[in-house]
Amino acid sequence: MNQNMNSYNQNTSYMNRMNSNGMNPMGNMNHMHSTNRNINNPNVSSNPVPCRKDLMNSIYEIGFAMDDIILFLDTHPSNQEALNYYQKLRKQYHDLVKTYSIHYGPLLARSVICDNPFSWAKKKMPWEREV
Amino acid sequence: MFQYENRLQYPVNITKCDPKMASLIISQFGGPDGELSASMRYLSQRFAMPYREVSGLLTDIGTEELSHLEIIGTIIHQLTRNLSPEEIKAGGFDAYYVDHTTGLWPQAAGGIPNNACEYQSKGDPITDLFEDMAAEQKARSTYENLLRLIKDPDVADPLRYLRAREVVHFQRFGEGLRIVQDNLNSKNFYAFNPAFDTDCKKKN
Repeated sequence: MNQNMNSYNQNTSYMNRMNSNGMNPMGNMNHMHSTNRNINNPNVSSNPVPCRKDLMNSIYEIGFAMDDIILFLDTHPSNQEALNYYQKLRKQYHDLVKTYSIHYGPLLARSVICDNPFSWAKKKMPWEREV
Repeated sequence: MFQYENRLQYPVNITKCDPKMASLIISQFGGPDGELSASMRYLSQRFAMPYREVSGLLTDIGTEELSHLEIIGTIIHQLTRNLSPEEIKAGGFDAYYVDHTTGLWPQAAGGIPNNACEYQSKGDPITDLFEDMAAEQKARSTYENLLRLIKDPDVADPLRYLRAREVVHFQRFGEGLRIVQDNLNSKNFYAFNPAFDTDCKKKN
């Protein structure tokens, strides 16, 4: 089984780059490291607003790990170790996307929270975004 | 069905324009071993794949290739942002510019339009999976050819990521081929086509 796991556990150069540029190793997300924009305004909720860049980097990282483990599970559907890993990532990904959507707009058309104008129609496209 | 998630699969942030490099990288958008051909090949082949793990694999890799098409499109768009006519001429981007301005159009580096002949789909699981494994290797070679020419780290980094994915996809397709063969007669994998000769499949 260990042999089977090699592909998605291998330490790839692009993941190293992610780490060296401030993206975090898996399972050690610091997206809650935040910039508190509301420090001088007592009327705004005191919940810290997570830093957009940190949050998006975590979404890239956990999203990639999910894409990779899903392909592995396609050809190893009964590998318990991979299934456990998938479950862990699924929860992390869901939470990250939810936090991102609340503060910075929807990633999916079906997750737009009631608003006018429709925020999906006003979204920045990924090729113009600087993250 | 497909739904759009409004982010790239891997971040791209290019600050320096380079129309010459854009005219070479476009081969991975619409060239013979590019991401568009890869996606259309797998998403077409999956209907004739009788084993669920493998038709699922073709669906998921075909979908990932669409995300890669978007990464390549982003790289080309950012390499050709705000170009002046002088820069277009100096960068050898003028012939492309005449027909497409700086819009994206699927062609190879040599100007050949994207061609459905690249979407090899034979309706035979063994044949199709060998095709896919070869396609992943050809795409890996193309990324390596590009990386030898590229000096800008902002451009090289996402291309290295895409190159690594070709290697992973090759590995997964190899496992898919193994799954197909495990379902066939080990003394003669070619006795019949499990996507077509369904009577033979029942007798086995």
